[in-house]
Amino acid sequence: MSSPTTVLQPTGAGIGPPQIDRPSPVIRAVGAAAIVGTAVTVWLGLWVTPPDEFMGEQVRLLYMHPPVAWISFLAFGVAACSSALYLWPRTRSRRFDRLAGASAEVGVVFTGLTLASGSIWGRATWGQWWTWDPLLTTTALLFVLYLGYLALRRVPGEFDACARRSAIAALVAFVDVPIVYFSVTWWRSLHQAPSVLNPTTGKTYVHGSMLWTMLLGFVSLTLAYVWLLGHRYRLARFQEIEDSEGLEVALAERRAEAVIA
Amino acid sequence: MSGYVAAGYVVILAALAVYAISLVVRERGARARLRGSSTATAPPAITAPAPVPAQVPAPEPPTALSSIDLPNPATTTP
Repeated sequence: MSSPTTVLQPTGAGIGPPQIDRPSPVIRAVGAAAIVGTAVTVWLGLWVTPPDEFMGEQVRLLYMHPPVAWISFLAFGVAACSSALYLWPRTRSRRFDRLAGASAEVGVVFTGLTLASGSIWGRATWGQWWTWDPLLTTTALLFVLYLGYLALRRVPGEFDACARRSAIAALVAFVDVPIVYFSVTWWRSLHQAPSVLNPTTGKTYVHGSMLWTMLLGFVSLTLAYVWLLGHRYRLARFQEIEDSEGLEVALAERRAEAVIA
Repeated sequence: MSGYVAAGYVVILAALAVYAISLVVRERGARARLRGSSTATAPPAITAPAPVPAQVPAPEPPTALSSIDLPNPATTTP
């Protein structure tokens, strides 16, 4: 029988020293630029740019709502590309699975904000919070599809099997993104057609300070997306290291029980 | 400024700020836990229990043979 001071060391293979450094200066600079850019966009959008001839003051939502929607497309595009790279045997890496999960979560946040801000804008211009318009419906479907993707990632199982099914789900869900974008041209919609780059006419319907303010909104929120993605990716990496350490401790406990018995 | 416009800006900026802060807080917490575990001199140790006093007989650990071969007195007929 062991004495009370006997210490049983875990004998499992270590995972090496985890890299738990602070965020890189690049990520910090991106975050600072995103904050400054967003603040300038809000200032220009609310107090500097003129009201629209037809929409009046409601046009000021133009500087935030389309950029937020664009980020959701970008985030799901990054998740789909990362998932494809994970499924491709030559490029299979945990990094791509982690990147896909992180980008999809940020994308879900931005899709939720797209729906919320669009609903507010719809109430101001159409007189109702929600309508089963093709664009709104497909966007809501996109939101639910990627919520399901995030839920699927949490289903326990062997890592490679979980990552594969998640990657397939991300690619399937991404099919809805072009449907959302082209829904305003494919079907009759209350929502206006794309104003900046119209795929059918090729014209731009926003000009002057309104165009530059909206472009600044696009750039600022893209930087915010990069910053959020960087931090979400790091958090996912830390969680994986914690899970690995928890597994090591559990294995050591089981071995200790076997030795005591 | 329209109330709807203000509401739209507030919803977007507040939600992004809350999400960003929650990410930073969770990341710092995970990093602190990992730093604590990595700077420890030894990995988590398991201390064996103290020996049982001599007056009390230690219960025999169940073995495969005892659990299979010994009859259950509650169900065995005399």
